[in-house]
Amino acid sequence: MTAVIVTGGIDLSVGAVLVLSGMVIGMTMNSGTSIWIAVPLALGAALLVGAINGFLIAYVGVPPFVVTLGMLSIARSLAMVSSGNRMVYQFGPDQSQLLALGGGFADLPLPFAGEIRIPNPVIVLSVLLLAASFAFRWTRWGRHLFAIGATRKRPR
Amino acid sequence: MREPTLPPRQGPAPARRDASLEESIGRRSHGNWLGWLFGQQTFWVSVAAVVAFVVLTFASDVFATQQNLFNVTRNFAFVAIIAIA
Repeated sequence: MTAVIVTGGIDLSVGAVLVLSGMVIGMTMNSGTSIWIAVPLALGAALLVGAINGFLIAYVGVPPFVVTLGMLSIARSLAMVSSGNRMVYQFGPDQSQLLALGGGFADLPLPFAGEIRIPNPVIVLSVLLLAASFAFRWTRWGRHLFAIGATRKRPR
Repeated sequence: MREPTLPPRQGPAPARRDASLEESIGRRSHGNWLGWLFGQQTFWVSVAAVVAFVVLTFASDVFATQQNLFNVTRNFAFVAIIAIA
């Protein structure tokens, strides 16, 4: 979202894409697929939706607001259809690994203060934060992105 | 004898804009770091977050427990991942 907002765009479909990829991993694992296949499938679904959004905005020239608003409905509908609009509690043979992935934690020992419990998502967040900071600050791509700013015509 | 007509005066806008630009640049480059900090929007948002944390800590017994902070950071991490991606 940082890259999108900084170049003057908008993405309304992030929440729906999150739901869709969650539904993909849930339903594929519910039908007995390994987590090693289900995770790439979920990421691939999110990537595909993002690629369609990007193609329509950058090459067809539809305003980002319109594209992502439409994609919001499409992705939510796909998620609802794929789940059959029912709750899923069984995730096949790799259920424990899936629950450990998002609900797990690491105990980080602190000097003089015992240990604090770090959830797995926070660890992922820290890694991604460092990677994104590096990419925005130190790569040619990142500097070009910030040079574009709110108007695409200005930086020459 | 007629006065020579002056060319129509430019409005005061460019001069004022230059002045405010100079002033802005001067403040940015010569101001002290405290003034710069108070000018940041994110600084005041952070202050509000810290104030809310302190107030909630005193207002509720269960807020500043390890289990609650664990849950809060876990739920917040997903939103933050989306925000930076």
